[in-house]
Amino acid sequence: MTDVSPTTTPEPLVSVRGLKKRFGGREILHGLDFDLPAGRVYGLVGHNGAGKTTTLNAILGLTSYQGTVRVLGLEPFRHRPRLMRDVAFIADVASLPRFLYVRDLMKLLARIHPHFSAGRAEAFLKGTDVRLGQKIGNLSKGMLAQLHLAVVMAIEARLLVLDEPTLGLDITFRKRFYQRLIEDYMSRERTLVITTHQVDEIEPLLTDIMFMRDGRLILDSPMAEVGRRFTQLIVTPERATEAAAFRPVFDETHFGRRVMVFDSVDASQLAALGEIGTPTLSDLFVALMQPPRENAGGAAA
Amino acid sequence: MIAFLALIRREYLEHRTAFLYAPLILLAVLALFVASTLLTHRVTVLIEAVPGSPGRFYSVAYFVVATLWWFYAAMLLFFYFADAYHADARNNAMLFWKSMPQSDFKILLSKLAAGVTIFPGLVFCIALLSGLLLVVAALALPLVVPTLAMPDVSTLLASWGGLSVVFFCYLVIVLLWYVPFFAWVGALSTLVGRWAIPLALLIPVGISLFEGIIDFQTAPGGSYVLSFLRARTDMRYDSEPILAALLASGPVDVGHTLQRLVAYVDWPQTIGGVAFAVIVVYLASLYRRRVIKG
Repeated sequence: MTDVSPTTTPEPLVSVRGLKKRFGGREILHGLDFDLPAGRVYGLVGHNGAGKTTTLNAILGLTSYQGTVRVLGLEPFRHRPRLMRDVAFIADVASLPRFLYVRDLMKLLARIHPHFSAGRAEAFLKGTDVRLGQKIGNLSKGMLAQLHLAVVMAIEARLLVLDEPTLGLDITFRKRFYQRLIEDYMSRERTLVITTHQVDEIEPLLTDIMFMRDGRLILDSPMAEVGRRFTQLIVTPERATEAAAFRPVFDETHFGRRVMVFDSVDASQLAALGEIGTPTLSDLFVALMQPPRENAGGAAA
Repeated sequence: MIAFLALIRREYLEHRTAFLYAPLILLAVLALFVASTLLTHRVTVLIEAVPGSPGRFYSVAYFVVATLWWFYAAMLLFFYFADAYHADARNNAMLFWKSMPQSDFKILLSKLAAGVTIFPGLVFCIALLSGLLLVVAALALPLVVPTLAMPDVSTLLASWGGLSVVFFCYLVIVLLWYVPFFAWVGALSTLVGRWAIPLALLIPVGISLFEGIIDFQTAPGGSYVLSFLRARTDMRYDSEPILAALLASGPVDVGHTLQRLVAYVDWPQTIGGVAFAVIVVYLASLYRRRVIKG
């Protein structure tokens, strides 16, 4: 039987083994295995339909699944209400109840959520354009995002999950959103999981990166490791065949320049073949998200 | 319990327009109607329809107004249950409420609790104010119709109080009796949204038709389901005590009237209905637990 009290051991906050999910007979997640330890900032990146949201929904207890998922020692689908005391999430910034005034929302949440502090939320709101007397339905999308962020930051949660939290926001709001999140919220006890398509914007925040493709985790690595593990090579045409022998995970020609990305290949060996560098996260994303036939090697998770 | 009360308050905040502001506007309209009736002497037509003292006129008027408020409450509650149970999905707020440490069952139960307590309670309060408005009107009657004797204020207030207690108890009994129907509409709404409005009726009718196809001969009236529903929608309460209280020249005998009202309630059916309501809400919560759209 599942233990209903959260674990206090140094186990990972989230432990996933063999996670599968089917929709209408079609398998969407094909047996994911990963752990999320405390004090990390994870980026979960993938194309639309890759299975990111379904994975997060399984972690948050919003959907049933096959396999073993433990979040803070609890089975999420079975114990979602208990779990939500220590887990906060934003799945859609437009999901705040629009009929409420901001002040009413604070008062309600103070009674509904045992780990929510209305005072802390109001303090977070002081630096924003959101006022307590405003009706939520009248707020702009950027203000809604600020309010929702203030709400989740006022919850003493150990795991915060943000699924496309800045979708539809302009770049100013997006930058402010992430800045406040890291400066005002992150701590060693907390883990943050972010999914987004704007990979470049969250790259400086991340401690770990996970890439998903077609329901599979194709990369799960600390950011520091990514730089050591992957090498980008702009190869001269005469050395291309030689470089291809190292089995690049990505090989494409851009404006007449042949670009290859290698996984776990000694950079000193590649240096002789052309110009080497570290791929940015977005370059790596493009490289690894190509259909398998275009990837000569393929990154191991 | 604090969280549950907060969830009920959330229902109030979401639906106060229908159950507080709109009735207050209607009360203002009623006040204008009463004032215009008095000022234009049209009230004499009404007095002829209800001959007797201003006290008796008051009782009948209060009864009519209270009955209209009960109809208003019943109609709004039907639409409340058809709307509130899928409001989170429709308003795109489902995921926000699911991020709260409250179960789907508790959230749906809070909607049921709000639907049978604060909302009819608010309409009852407006009905009370209507009764007081009519007290003022009854006091003004002799000024408009000099042939009428000036009623005693304390008698009118005693009548208002007595009738209000009877109306309140009647409201509680009616709510207990009809709560399974409200819960049925709410549970359907969780599944199919606003289509719950026609389906709440079409499903039992469809079952009855099917039942008639396979066993028309033995079922009473051609359908066990329809026969049961016919019996279940009829409260079979004794209307005589309320009417007797209205027509009595003296103050309302609250104790006796309530005794007669309560004696006619089919308590096993009432308790069974409440249990049915809780069960269908629980089943609806099992469905909602799997819903993440919205």
